[in-house]
Amino acid sequence: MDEREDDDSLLAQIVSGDRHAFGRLMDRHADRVFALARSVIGSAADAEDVTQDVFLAVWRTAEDWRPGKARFTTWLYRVTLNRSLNHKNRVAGRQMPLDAVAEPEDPAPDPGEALDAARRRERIDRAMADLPESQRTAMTLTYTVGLGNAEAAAAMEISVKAFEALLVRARRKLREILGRETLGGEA
Amino acid sequence: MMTLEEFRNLLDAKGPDPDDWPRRQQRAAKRLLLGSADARVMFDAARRTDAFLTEALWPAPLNPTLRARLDTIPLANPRTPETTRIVMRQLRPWWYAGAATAMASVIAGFVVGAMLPAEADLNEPIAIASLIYGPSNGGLLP
Repeated sequence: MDEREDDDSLLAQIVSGDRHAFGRLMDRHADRVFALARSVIGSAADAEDVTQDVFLAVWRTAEDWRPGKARFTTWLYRVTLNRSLNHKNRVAGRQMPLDAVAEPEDPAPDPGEALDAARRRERIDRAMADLPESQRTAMTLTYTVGLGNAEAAAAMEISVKAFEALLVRARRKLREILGRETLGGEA
Repeated sequence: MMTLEEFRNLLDAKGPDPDDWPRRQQRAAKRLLLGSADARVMFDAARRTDAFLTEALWPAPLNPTLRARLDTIPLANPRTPETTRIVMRQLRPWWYAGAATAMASVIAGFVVGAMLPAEADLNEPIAIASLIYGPSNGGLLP
């Protein structure tokens, strides 16, 4: 089923107060909204607040959504980005809280694999943290949220060309940081 | 003919999936891939990097505590019944029209008030009429 039609129909059900439709919409997007907020803000606790704020906006303003004009996800991630940046600016200067450390992954059956995965995650998190904010956002929209370049550029409210320039710089910087050991072959 | 540097830019800007490349560049890139071992090495490396990043950056499952918080949103914020919202939406233009009329009346009141001579006797109808008619008296209408 077309994801866009599905989001639109869920929103139509939310307008009539359908809590289950709201739950299904969260099933689809809440993990990515949280991941995007966290990549901008850095703190898991603050990213949770922003995620709640974004979904409250979805619940309250669902009737204002006009199906067919744009993709719901473009709006959703744009709102997430704007609120995350506002939140970050508000708390700028405050010391980074301890809960900015990544949430532990669900335990996997094989402890060795889990350790490898945790190390890899830690390595990539550090590499991402070294990127400038706009490049990190571009990478998160591409790999974590899974948007194409055009939709990600719309979410960041920049041109596709500008977005791709961010991706070029981010991919090169990540290759440099992560290096041959992590990526293998000609990195 | 696409150069290796142009091919690297294409990979970094659009990713390693040829379906995401613009059609014109797709043809040139495929020709380059056929003829250049360096391009093939670059392409394989880009695919490996992309696969690694896709796996590594995939969002973790939502924290159950956060999910529980999100689930309370509908209960804590009951929606206005649809009929009420429809009525409110239909009344909105009238509300704006009323507000605009009230604002225009206030502005008109200030204008007329400012134009009244300080010594004008407001009980005398001719003084007010002369404000509106008669340009020789500085009236509003010819």
